[in-house]
Amino acid sequence: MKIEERREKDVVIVDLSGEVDFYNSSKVREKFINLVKQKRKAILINLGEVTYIDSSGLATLIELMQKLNGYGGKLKLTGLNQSVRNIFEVSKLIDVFSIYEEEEEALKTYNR
Amino acid sequence: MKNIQNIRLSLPSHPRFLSVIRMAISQVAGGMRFDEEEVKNIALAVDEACTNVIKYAYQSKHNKKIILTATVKRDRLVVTIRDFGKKSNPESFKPRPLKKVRPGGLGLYFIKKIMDEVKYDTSSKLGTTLRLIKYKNENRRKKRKGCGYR
Repeated sequence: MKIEERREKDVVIVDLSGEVDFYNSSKVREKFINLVKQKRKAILINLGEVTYIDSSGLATLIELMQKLNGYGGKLKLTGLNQSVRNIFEVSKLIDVFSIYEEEEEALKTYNR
Repeated sequence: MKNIQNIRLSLPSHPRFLSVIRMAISQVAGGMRFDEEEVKNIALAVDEACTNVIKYAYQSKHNKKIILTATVKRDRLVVTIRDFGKKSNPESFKPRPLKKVRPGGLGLYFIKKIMDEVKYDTSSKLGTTLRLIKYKNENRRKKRKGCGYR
């Protein structure tokens, strides 16, 4: 699993890749906690290269979303492949998160 | 050629082996011609069950033993997960309502949602055997009225 960060103006984009499971979701959480400490308001998680996510990975995303909501931030997700989308659908989280097909589309919504 | 590939794996209770478990289960389920989505879901359910063993039965101790078996039957896949840790109390297991969005509690929901039968056997002196069954589409029987146990 890899975690990379880049910036697009005020938006922090986190690119995750590989399998996110109980073994490595704590590393993802660590990254997210750092962004929350910096009070980053616009975070976009790119799951385009994520091939698997389990409940601990989902819990990490839920925690980040709730922390951001707590100080008026916005978390958005993009790039879900069919297999990851299926896991979001089974857990009914598909409607809980703001999910965009394309990164560009998601970035535009931060300015609205 | 008969396409029966039963497996038995004995693994340490370290989360780094979850990927091995997923791979093994995917191979067996794939060989049974579950469709691609079902194979991924079955691997997810078994992964979640093993994660629960690590977290709760072994309280995150990583040097304990998990024995995983997958048995191919004509109409179903039977997976057992044996641990030797703190006994489960299936009656206390309740997947969280999905309307309450919060971190945690999704693992059991996945297991019950994906598998057709989920049974905890706590009759051994030590630990728990969790038995998960997934029927092939044409033979599917839903028995999801909570966790039964012997």
